[in-house]
Amino acid sequence: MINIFMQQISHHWDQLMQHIGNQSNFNTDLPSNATGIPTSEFYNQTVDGNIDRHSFFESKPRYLNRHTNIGFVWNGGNCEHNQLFTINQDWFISTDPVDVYEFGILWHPLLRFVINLKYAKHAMHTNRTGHFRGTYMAGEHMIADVLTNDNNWYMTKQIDNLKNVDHIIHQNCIPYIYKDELEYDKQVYREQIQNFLYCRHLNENWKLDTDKWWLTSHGRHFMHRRWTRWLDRHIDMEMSAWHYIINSQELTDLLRQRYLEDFELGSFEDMTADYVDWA
Amino acid sequence: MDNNRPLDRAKNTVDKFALILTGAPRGVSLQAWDHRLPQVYKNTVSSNDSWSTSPHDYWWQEDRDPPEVHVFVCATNFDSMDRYLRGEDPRLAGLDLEPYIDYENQKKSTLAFDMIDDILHYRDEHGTVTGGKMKLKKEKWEKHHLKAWDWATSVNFVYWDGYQMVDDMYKHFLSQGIETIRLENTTWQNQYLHMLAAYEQHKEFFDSLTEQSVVFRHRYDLSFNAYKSLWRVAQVLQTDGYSNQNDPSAWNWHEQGFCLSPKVMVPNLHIFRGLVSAGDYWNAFDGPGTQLFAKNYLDYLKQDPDHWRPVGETLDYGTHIKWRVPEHSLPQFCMQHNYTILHLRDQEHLGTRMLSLKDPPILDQWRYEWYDWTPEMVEEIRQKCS
Repeated sequence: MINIFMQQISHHWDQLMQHIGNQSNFNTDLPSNATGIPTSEFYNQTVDGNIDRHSFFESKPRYLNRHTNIGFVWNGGNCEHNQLFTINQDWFISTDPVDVYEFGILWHPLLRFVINLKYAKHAMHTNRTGHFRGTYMAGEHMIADVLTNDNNWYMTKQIDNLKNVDHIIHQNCIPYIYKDELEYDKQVYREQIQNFLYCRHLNENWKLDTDKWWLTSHGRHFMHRRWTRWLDRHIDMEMSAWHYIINSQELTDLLRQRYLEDFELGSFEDMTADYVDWA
Repeated sequence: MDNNRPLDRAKNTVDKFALILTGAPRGVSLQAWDHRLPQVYKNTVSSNDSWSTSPHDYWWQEDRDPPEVHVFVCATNFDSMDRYLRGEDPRLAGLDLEPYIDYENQKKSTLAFDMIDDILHYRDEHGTVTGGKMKLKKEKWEKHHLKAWDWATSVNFVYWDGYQMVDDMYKHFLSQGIETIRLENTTWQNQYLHMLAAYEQHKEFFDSLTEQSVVFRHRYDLSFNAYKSLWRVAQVLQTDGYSNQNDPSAWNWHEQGFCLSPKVMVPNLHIFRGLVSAGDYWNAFDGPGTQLFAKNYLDYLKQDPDHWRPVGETLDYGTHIKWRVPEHSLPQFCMQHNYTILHLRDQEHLGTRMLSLKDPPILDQWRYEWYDWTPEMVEEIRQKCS
């Protein structure tokens, strides 16, 4: 595959680890002028309305750890819920340019599309009579309409988002199994990188549907109640949109057509696996 | 198995389950619906190995055969008007995300009503609705449900529409000297009238049900906690409604013969202005409770125009002593017929949640999916009415 930006893309976790091992600047701390919002604070502020979530993500923020000189560029393909696994004082999120070695993840366009779908039309929190909060809707017409007509920030091509990123991680590098089952040589980066890359297990969602977990604060995963409620409600839409697309040739073609360059960059095939099997 | 545990006792006593799906087909086309409803209910008869967790108590884990589970899929033959379709919240109407009616502009909303009415209804020379135009896509509907419920003992399709009933009710009250508003459809009553239709069309089955049967009626867009199943309903309906039989210090309701009455289980039981009220998105009956309801609910509606009129149609709304909301209907009927009414504080207690009551709600484009609505029709309304 031709890498049009001459960036390295790691297609396998071992490649990534080898690459990390070859970088001399990984063990250094962040530049002292690096500023941003602690991740925990970010969730509070976006929920409370002090930060406009849309414009914040539109500015392509990066996640930074105070003890490593790397930044993960937000490319919109993973659920922000993952970041709750990394909540501690060491992590913060920044929209300011910082001189760090930047990673970006290249996601399968279907995955990224369905995860970003929750931002589509989300501005409609209430209707004209003020009765209802915004509705997540999924359906063939709606998906076709978004794929065809929506040009908002969440619909940008990944190839554009990752243009200036130092290293691209292919989705294949991301472990979709519990992190305890993996072994890494680079212990220093294990938590930070893996926490970021770790994709939540689908079963996590059910915790929010039990009377024990929902609306209560049990453990750090759900300490930001309103944020996680907003975020996790979209999984039903995500799952359903995925299902519509893999079962419709028309929608599959629309997706490929819209993100042709991303498909080519990652050598991705059309997704055929069911969301539940995949997640 | 410990027979002292209510759940185990239920697993030893339930003879049949009947699941009755009623109301508008919201959410049904979603993968999330399949994942959260039929696939969860499947745990009633088998331990679902597609979940990566160990089997749960509420799943069937016995070596013996589970009880029969019969599913009744009810639907109206024709699409009908509702407040969301009229523009209050077009997203809940199951069409587009973008509004197509300027709901605050009375002229435009009236024009939109006329346009939608023309799409939905046939009317006679007096302007009375005589039938529906927008047919349910039955072939697609049945194919979808047969696949979703392929594990069930039987899947039964119940089709019904209320045009004749609307006329009958109007004439019934007129014959008693009471002039009521002539309704154009059966609105929220569909969720109960569908159940009556299921009984009428499958009398032999429903009459065979006993005190040990569990009938669970609910609206379509319900989601159920993955770690539960119909055994959760059975547990509460058959055992948890009473005090602990095995605790000699407890007040044992059984000794008072309370369990001899037909049973109903409802969520969110309250008394509003002297009338018993409960959530109407689901309820569970035992066999006698089902039969009594199916045979007598229509008579209950005919007793009083206030039993029949939908919300907002009652005179002196808000001050009238007979003020009613849909949540009054089932519990008031059950009070009148001496049911034992069991109660769970809220729907989460049972393990359910309505997809449309989530925050934010998750819904599908169900009118496009199951009825012959097209984007062109909606666009025409949008051009003239928004």
